[in-house]
Amino acid sequence: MVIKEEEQASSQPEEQTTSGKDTSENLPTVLDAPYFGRTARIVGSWESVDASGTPHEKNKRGELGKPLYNWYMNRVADDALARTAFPQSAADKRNTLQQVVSRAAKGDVNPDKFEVTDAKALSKHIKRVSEHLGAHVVGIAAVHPSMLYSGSRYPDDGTGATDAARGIKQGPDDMATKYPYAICLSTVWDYNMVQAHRHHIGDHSYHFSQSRLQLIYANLAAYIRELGYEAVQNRAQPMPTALAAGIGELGRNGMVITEKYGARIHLGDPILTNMPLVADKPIDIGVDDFCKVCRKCATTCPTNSITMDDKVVHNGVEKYKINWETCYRLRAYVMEFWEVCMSCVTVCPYTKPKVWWHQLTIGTLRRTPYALRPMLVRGLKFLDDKVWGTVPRKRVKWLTYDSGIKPVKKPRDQAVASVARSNGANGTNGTNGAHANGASANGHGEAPDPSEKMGYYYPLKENTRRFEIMEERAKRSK
Amino acid sequence: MTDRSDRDRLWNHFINSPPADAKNDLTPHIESAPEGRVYPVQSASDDPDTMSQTIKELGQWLGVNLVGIAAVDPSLQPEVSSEGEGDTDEEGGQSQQLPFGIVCVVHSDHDPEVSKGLGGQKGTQLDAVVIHHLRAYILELGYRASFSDLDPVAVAEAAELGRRDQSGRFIAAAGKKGSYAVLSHVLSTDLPMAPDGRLIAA
Repeated sequence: MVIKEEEQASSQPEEQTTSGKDTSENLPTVLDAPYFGRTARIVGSWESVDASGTPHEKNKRGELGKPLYNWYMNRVADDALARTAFPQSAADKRNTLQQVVSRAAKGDVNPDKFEVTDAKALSKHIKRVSEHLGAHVVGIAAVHPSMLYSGSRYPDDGTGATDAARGIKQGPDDMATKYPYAICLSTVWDYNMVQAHRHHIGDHSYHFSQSRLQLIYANLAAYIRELGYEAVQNRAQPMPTALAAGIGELGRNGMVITEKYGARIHLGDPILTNMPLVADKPIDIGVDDFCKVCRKCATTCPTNSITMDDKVVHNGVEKYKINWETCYRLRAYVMEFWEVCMSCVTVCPYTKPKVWWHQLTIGTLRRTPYALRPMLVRGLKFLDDKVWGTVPRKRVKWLTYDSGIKPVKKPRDQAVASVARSNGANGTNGTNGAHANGASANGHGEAPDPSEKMGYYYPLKENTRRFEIMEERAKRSK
Repeated sequence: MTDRSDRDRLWNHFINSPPADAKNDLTPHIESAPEGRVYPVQSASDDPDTMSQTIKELGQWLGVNLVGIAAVDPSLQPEVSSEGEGDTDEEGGQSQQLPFGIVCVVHSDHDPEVSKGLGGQKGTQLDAVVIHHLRAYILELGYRASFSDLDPVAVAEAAELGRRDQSGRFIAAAGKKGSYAVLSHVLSTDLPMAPDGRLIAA
């Protein structure tokens, strides 16, 4: 990576994170850095991300404490459908599709390689194949080492085998040379179900989308091998690859925001390949301008993990930086009622149903000159608050689930007994509608009013700040 | 059916050419995936109508077009050991009969009998995936569910999803014009449900 010599002295020497307003004008230019669009830019020295430092890997080593470790390794969901949706929530992982797909033996690369005469036609074909298999957004990125993990995405796959033991020796530079293209797919979460964020309904839209995407990737990788080319997974970071592939832009909430579906997408594990393709370019749908003004996700986040401030430079990348730890730590304390928060996704103004007026708005924003965008964005944000509300609270009913019913928190020692005795709290399907989502023989939530249009959402902000509040009070009393 | 051959010369290969390596086809792997255990606590299903509706809505949400449930004549009901997969009667498990059959119908643009490529088999794979999900869900509700040898077309006819034509192919009652009805698997279960019809021994 090359930095202009005359600016090396002014680059940040050791601290990887700096804060400041509008930092981009004062930072060195990295000449060979890939272009990720306006929302994330490499502006300084960077290091490849070591996957063993990511939240799940830290948690598996017990570095995040016992509650989170138990949440990851030992939880079994109360909800029957949740036990089939995701292996970490399962009583028996064989009842999850992810386990089945991950254990499938990979086929060989076809020795009869399909010779490419037109890389552009082949790229179009791969996209058409991906959509036929079920992907909603498809993009192709030219691989750069900054998009790759330093090793495998799953350094310890649970068998104790590390990258070294599995013979993974090629670093990001070698991988980028050997596999110059990355195919990035995404599947979409059901819009109506996502309105029930912090609820089993939202969980199911999330987890089943995830398992569907894993299957699509597996099918696509198999097809690429059938064409005679290699397809490698577990090496590319989903987010920078998605940005480079033109899937979307990076929002303040740390999610990739797409043109048609907003933030309600899954990114999965991109495929690296040596198939000759034509790369796409990052897109501009005005996320950079909108996120400067909006801050809806930051005010709604139940754990205050999203910054209200400007972008910072972290590991050489200028972007909005979320506090992953406070976001992650919530999970252990809410798993009795729901698993996936998604409030920042649901509240994002870009997350809308796939309708013509949404497309028109995005198209207009894209065509507006940069200087005029702040004014347009303020108007759109005002409209969004008026029409959709500052926080979505729509009641959602799906199968026998109902997000309008307050879930009941079971005392810990009664949890197993209540499952055995009652119809099952918290939305165990197989009960009739009146008993779904919390009304158990041991106690009821508030009686559901069928005409009520508001969903029930646990207020969490106050609880997660309680220690900070206690410290502030202690300081004031001194 | 959309003819893409003129616009994309590879499309014909993707739809019609069987994979050179069978391992690159995930469908058999999904179909033969081992069955998980039955969850030890049964979730009450005191309303068979609601349970039937839930199964159908879940199947359709997962991607199939039609879901049918038939009550199966006792003489046709498959038997499984009550102790779970792999256990035999010698180990003390009792045999149980599974009185209901669930079948899913996928409307496919391609005939899976002819289009043996990875793309042409999309309907068959989707059917296998949804049946896997439904089986897993029923097992987690605390009831038995297994792939069975029942004829899927017979079960679909009994569930009033369509009929067999003169050549023996299944024609869905609510089918898309020009599409092929793909139904490859039957899930047998003892989950109490309200069936759409009854499969009677000939």
